[in-house]
Amino acid sequence: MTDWVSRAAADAAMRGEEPRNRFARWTTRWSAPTPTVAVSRFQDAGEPFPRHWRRFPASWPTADAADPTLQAALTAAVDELPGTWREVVIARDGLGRNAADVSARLGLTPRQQRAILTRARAQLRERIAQRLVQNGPP
Amino acid sequence: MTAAPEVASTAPRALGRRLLPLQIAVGLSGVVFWVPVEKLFMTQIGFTPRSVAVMAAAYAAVVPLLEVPSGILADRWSRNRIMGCAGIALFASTLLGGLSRNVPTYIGAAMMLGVYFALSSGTVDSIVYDVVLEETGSSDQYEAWIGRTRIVESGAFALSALAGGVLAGWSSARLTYFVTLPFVAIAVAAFLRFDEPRLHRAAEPVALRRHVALTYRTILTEPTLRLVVLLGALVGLLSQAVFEFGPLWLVALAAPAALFGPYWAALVATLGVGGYLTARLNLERPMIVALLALTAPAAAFSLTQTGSLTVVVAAQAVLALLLAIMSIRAGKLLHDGVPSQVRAGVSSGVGTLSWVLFLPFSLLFGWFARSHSVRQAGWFLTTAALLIALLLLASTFRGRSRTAPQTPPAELACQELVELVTDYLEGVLPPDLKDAVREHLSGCEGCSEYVHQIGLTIEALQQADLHLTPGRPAPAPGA
Repeated sequence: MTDWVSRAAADAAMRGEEPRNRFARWTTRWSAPTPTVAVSRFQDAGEPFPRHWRRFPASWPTADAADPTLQAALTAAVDELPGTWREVVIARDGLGRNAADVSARLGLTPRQQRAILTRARAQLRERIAQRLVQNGPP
Repeated sequence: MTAAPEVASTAPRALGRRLLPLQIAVGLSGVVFWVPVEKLFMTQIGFTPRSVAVMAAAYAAVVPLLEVPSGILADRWSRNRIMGCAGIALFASTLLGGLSRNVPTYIGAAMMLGVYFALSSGTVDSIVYDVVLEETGSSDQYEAWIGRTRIVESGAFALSALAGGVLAGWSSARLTYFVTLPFVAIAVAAFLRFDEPRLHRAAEPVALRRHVALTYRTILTEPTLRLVVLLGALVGLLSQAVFEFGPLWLVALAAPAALFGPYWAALVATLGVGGYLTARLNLERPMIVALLALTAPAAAFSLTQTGSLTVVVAAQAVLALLLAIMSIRAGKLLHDGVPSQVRAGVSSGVGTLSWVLFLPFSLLFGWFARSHSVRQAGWFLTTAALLIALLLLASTFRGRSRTAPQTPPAELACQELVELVTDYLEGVLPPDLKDAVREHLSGCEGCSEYVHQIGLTIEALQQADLHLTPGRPAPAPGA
C-alpha cells in the first residue's frame, strides 16, 4: 500500500514537471536517464558509501543452472520482458548467436544491442531473485 | 541463418514503426478547431471578462487536484487507456462546449477539459520514453523522438487554429466545436490500438516522507534556488495569462472571427520557435538576458496603451515568445541548481505554485477588467513581467559567480559497475576501464555476487528451451 502510494506520488511529481497552459505544452522537459539497476539499491549522497550497494544482492538458494525452480523463474521472467529485449536475450544467450548477426537482424547498432542485452539480463536477474529469494524455498 | 546485409541505422526500424500510430494519435488530438475562437464564442453566449476569469480560476483550482489521482491511474493501469479516457474527456468537453448556451454549462465544459489535461499531461512523454528504452536500450534518443512528437502536435494545433478561424468566419464559432468531434473520436481509437510499452518509467518508489523533507530543505536553504523557483512559477503564471486572457483584447477590439485563427497559430508557434531560439542564444551573457527581460514588460505595457489590432497581436506574440524562452531558461537554472534526487519534486512544486498563484491573479484580473477595461487590466501583465525581469536578472548575476561544483567520481562505484557488466563480458571495454572493473570485483562482495548471478542467468538461458518469435523482428515482407 505505502509502496504504491509512493510510486504514484513519484509518478505524479514527474507529470507535474511538465510546464503547460490550458491548451499548449512547452516543448522541453528534462528526463533523467533510467539506470539498469534501480537507484534505490544504492546509497545516496548523504550515506556512508554513496553509489555503493545499500544491501548486497542476496545469494540464491541454487548454483545449478538446470535447477527446476530457477528454470521456472527464468521462463516467467522472460515472458515479462519487452519484445525486443526478449528477442535479443534469447538470440544471444539462449541460442548463442553472435552480436553482429543479432544487431543486423533487428536493425540495431552494436551499442544499442549491448545496451538492450545489459538491461534484459539485469531485469531477468532481478525477477529471478524476487522469485527465488523472496517467494521461493528458504 | 544469414541476414541480408543492411545498414544499421541509428534509429532502429522497429522504433519508428512502433511510434508512428502514437504520433498520428497525438496529431489527431491536436486538431481542435474551437480553441482560437473560444473567447469569441464565450462572449456570444454571455461571458464577460470577469466570468472568463472565474472560469480560468476554477480551472486552475481543479487541475492540481486531478494531478495525483491521474498519476495513480497512469501507474496502476494501462497508459493507452489513460490516453483513451483523456480523449473521451476532450470529446465530452467539446460536445458540452458546443451545446452550451449559458455561462455555467460552459464552465462545466472547461472543467472537463481540465480532466483531459490532467490525464494526458506527461502520459505521452512517458510512453515515448519507454518505447525508446525498449527499442534502443537507452534513453539517448528520447529528446529527438519527443521533439518530433511535439512538432506533429504543434503543427496540428497551428493548422487547426487557422482552419478554425476560417470556419468561424464563414459559418459560426459554434460549428468549430462539432467539426472537432470526429477527429477526437479517431484519436481515441488510435491511442487504444497503440502497442503499449511494458516498462514503466516511474517504477522507482520513493521513500515519501524523506523525499518531501529533502525537497523542502533544498528549497528553503538555498536562497538562489528560491529565486529560481519563484521565477519559474511566475513565468508559468504569465504565459497562462497570455494564452487565457490575450484573446479578450481581440474581442474588445471587435476583431473579425477569421483573424483569431492566424493569431492563435502565431501564439502556439512561439512555443516551438522559443525552443529553437533558446538553443541558439547565449543566455549566459547578461546583456542578452537583460534585453529579453526588459522587452517582456515593454510588450505587456504596449497592451495597456494601444487600440490597434496589429500592435496587440504583435505584442502578445512577442510576449509569448519571450516567455517560452524564459521558461526553458528557468528550467535550465532549476536543473543546474537542484540535486537530481529532488529535481522532479522541485519542478513539480514550481508547477503547482504557478497554478496556485494564477488563481487569485485571474480573479483580480477579471474584477479589474470589469470595473475598468481589458486594456487597463494589461497592467497586471506588465507588473508580472516586471517581476519576472527582476528575478531573471537577479538569478543571472547571482548565478554567474558560482562555478560548476561537479567533482568527478574518484573510482568506479557499484552503481557504475552494473552498467558495464555486458561490455565487460563481451570484452569491448577500454583496457583501463577493464582493469578498474576487475579490481572492483576482487574487492566487492556485492558486485561479485551480482556478476555471478548474471552469469548464472546466462547459463540458465542456455539450458532453457527458448524460441524467437517467428516473423517478429526485421522488416518481414507483407507484415
